[in-house]
Amino acid sequence: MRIRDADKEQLVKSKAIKQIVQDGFQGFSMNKLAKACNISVATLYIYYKDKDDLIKKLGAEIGHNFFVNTMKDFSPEMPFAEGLWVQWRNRSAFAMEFPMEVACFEVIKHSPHAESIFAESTHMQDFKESMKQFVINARNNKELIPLSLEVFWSVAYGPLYILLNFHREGKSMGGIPFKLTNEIVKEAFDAVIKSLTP
Amino acid sequence: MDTNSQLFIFKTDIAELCPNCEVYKLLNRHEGVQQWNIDTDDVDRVLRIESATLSALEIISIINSLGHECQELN
Repeated sequence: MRIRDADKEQLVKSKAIKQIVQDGFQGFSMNKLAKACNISVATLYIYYKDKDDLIKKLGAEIGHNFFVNTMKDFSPEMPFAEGLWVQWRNRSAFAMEFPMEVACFEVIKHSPHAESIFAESTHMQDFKESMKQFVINARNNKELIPLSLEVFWSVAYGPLYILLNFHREGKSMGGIPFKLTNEIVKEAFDAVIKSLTP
Repeated sequence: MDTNSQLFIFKTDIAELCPNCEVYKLLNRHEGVQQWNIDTDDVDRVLRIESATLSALEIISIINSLGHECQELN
């Protein structure tokens, strides 16, 4: 009887994330992954039915961690500026702690696998519902100016993700060295709040 | 997975699979096969079979009888 080994499984996951980020789905294969992990192809197929199964399971796990971490200390009932700050803090903490997972999740999110991953995730549904309620509350309490959904999202989170990208690449426009600090995050956050509140 | 069933993993040359293929039809209706799938995208065309009654050799001979190569991966 073939037995699963938790350590090996963890190694497989981290190597798979690395390969997907570096080579994309096309360059990623079960054979290459097995070699990188120094395990037999057969062992890999104990854990996963095929490449798609692996990608889906990986996406579901990263997504689950992201949603759980993003909701930490957050409630849709919070005053707008306070709640958005918790979101910024949680999202940047996650991106700083798990940069490879975030990059991998981005690849998966823009693939045909995304739909089935999200449809099966109750955490994702709860997360969406909370974020929606948070914005509705902010509008009702007159803490947020009226904006279309996409514009709201771009203004509310866009600056954070751009700064996190600069940080990940270690440089900003024109190759200027860049490191994200709490001060810079706060500076950007204040500018965002100023533009979103009446 | 059923507690009595075993997972077998084989390298094959089954490049394509469709509901009309002999392999597909046979594995679907075989009583000894609980679950199966083939990763036709992989270079090893890996066949995975869960069975409580079949042995690796029996599975190999079934696949061979359908004109395909089949070799257990360890």
